[in-house]
Amino acid sequence: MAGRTWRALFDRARDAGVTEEDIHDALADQRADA
Amino acid sequence: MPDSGGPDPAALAADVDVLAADLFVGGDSRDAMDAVRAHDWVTLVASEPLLDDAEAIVAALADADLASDWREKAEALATLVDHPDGDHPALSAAVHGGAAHVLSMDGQLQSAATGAALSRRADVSVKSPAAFARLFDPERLYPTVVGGEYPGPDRDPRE
Repeated sequence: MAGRTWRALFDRARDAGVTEEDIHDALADQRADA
Repeated sequence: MPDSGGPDPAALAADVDVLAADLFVGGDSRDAMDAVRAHDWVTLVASEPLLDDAEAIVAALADADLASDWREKAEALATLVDHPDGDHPALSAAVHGGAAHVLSMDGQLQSAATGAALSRRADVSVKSPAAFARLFDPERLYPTVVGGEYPGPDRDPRE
């Protein structure tokens, strides 16, 4: 969509406060559910 | 892309952890993905299952709106390939997309055993995003992949 940039996505994502550890935990949960 | 018969040294697949870290964290994963975003001759290969997994992780960690918007941008950036169901999405996308690199923070994927198994299927190298960001040298690669003198980045990696 016009106007939706990577910069804007990164800004929104930063607000979520997600860490690499959170990502790995979520991936472990995803694999457990698969 | 030159038709050398081997994998494309300017093509890579990124595992879900790297795609998510690029979006949420930055650091080495974003540096590595910036190599793709900043150069139209560097190819990100992906597959529907890989993007499905990544979108689900983004939705779980943030919200569905961000996940949907990320998916739209990722699809626009990537070259999508098909691979058999049940394959590891990032590895199989790289193999079927002719990419030389898989970026992953998964230590098992980076292990020597996996590397050996992969090398029997294709010349795919699994690297951490830090290793890729350190090793990727567009100035050295450009004359081989495109030809001529490297003109510098041709895209804004934040657009």
